[in-house]
Amino acid sequence: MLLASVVIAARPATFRAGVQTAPVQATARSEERLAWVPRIRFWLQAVTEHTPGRADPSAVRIGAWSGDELDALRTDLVWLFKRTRQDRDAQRQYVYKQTTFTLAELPALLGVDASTLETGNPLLERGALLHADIAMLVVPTSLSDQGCRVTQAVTANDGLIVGSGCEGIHWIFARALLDNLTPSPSRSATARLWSLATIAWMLEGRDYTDGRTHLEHIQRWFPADADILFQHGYYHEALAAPVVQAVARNVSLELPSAREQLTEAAELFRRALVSNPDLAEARVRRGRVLHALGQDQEASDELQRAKAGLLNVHLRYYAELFLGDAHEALGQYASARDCYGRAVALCPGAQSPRLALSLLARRTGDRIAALHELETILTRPPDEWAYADPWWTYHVWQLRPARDLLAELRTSFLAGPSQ
Amino acid sequence: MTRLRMLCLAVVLPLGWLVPEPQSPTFSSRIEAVRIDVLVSERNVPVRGLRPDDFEVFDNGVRQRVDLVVFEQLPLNIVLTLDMSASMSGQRLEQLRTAGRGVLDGLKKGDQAALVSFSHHVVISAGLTPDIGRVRAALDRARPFGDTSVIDATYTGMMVAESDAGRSLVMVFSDGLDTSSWLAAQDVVEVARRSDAVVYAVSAVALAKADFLRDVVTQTGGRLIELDSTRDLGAAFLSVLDEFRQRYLVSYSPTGVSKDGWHAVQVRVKGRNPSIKARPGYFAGS
Repeated sequence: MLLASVVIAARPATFRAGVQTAPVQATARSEERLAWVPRIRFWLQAVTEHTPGRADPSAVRIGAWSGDELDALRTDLVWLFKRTRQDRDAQRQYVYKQTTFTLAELPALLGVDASTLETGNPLLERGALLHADIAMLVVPTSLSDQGCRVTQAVTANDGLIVGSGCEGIHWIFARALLDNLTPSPSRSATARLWSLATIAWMLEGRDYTDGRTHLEHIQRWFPADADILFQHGYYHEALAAPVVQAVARNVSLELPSAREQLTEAAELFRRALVSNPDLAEARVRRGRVLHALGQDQEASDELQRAKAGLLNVHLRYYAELFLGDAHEALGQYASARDCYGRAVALCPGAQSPRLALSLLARRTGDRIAALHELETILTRPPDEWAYADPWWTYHVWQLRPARDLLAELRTSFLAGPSQ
Repeated sequence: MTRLRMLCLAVVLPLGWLVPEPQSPTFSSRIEAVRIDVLVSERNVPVRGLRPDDFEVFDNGVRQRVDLVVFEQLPLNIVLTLDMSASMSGQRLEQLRTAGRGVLDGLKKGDQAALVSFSHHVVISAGLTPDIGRVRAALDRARPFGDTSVIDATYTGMMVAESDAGRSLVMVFSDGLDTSSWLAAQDVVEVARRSDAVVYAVSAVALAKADFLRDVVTQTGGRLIELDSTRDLGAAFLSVLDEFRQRYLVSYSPTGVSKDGWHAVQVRVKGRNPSIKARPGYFAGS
């Protein structure tokens, strides 16, 4: 497992030596370029036959479409849904792209039941699930540039820039489908769960390119939703990480500074907590962010409050670790030591609180204690303790992981209508 | 081009420490003697044969009497702090191992070595020991995986170095940006200001500046070598060891200065104008 694979948007012209500079082109197509009717029929069939959560043949075939084809499909679908929803005259004749038909004839033309077009929303939601699955399960496994816009991104592993990537067109398409939900996406439980699950998936994968547009778009659907505000704050907190900032600097990416990201994150976490004061994960992260911004007393207060209701071991560990850090910054060394000690008790294999305890000892000139703290943990074989420190996964860990949210989304959708 | 610099190491230790015998850890908060680790060079060539009277040392601006100067007589403690993250697999790993073995082979009787290997996980693979074979075996066992915690590892390397009162060199190598350290860079740089170890760093980070390592070596009087690749690691490691051995240890008992806080130190050589770059000072009692 690579812990710190990062994808951040960048401009092609800013790439430096050693990094792939050729723009990613929307090119390869495995299907013949389709006229609009067979294209929609093909897509409707794929949406209907697709099993959510699987890279089945339907997902693979649609995943091979180019950006141009998806754009054309999107235009056709928008036109189609607008007509079927607004027009009541089933016999009115339309001419669309040189095809003449009435609304009454449309279902037969497209090979679906009339109810499929009339109800609309389930089809759009199912389509969003299909395209999310393509983005998550099909396109990432492809070595080609299928599913990409010309947008550039930089990918980095282990802190090193390893190549370029692209922004996924299937995310754009899926969002466009949900944009057409009636009365609005904000009224759809499926759209909300879809949003939470897909954002979580991007955050876990450190896909900060798709993540940015995804979050901004979804935030417009759910402007006061605590969970989505939290995820948005999480995103900005992650972008403040030194490795992300360093990679961005190295490709001259105009990424806001760590301080700006942290400030944005603190505000988003605050708004999330206004919407839901019990969102402990937001409180823990807000505490850390405030400390990183130098607001140590506020950070301490927030983390103390967060600790009160925490049950999850990871969150408790984070809270103790961050609270210790805040106390240390405030010069409250005894309190800091207690916090780090509790973090050790929660995760005995973790090296971060031991390092913190060691540094505390070293601050007071106690070199022997400083070394002793390290020797208690750092002399163990690396493979035995390789993933024992939750700090290492802080920027990808979520209380509700993507796999759980995606499973909930798929189960919920398959169980029945969302509204 | 390699630039020779004057290295300055300040240690708060009893004067009796300046005897080239193995020492047990002894730490004192009293300023009995300050040891300045100095490399003097002219036209990139180390200047040899200097005596106590040749040095001028100023502690917080107050001229001090140099008691003792030692050159090439003291055993060395070297703490190899090596990046074993995933990016160091294959040929790079072999180049790193070869470079590390080269340093270990260059140690003399009485010298000690240690190995701190790191990915996101920091491991004291071998503590300071005169048994160089043990360190060599630990180097051979280390396997690359995971991310990079160069800040945590550098701190650990300094702590291992401080476990013995000997003359300590921490040699840090990394090929990546820090991705997973807990400790803050500025905290570790602050520790470096207070440490008696000298940190040399070799960085092979493509497309990035090793800002943290540069700060640490500056505070300890060491040097940062930036490489384009790991191909020249062996030569870089050996140049560090060679440079470290070309240093004077200049000792004085501070007089006319406070016993606490930060002491700015200046070192000069009378009647000459050699290249001198020194650790900027030391913290009394740290």
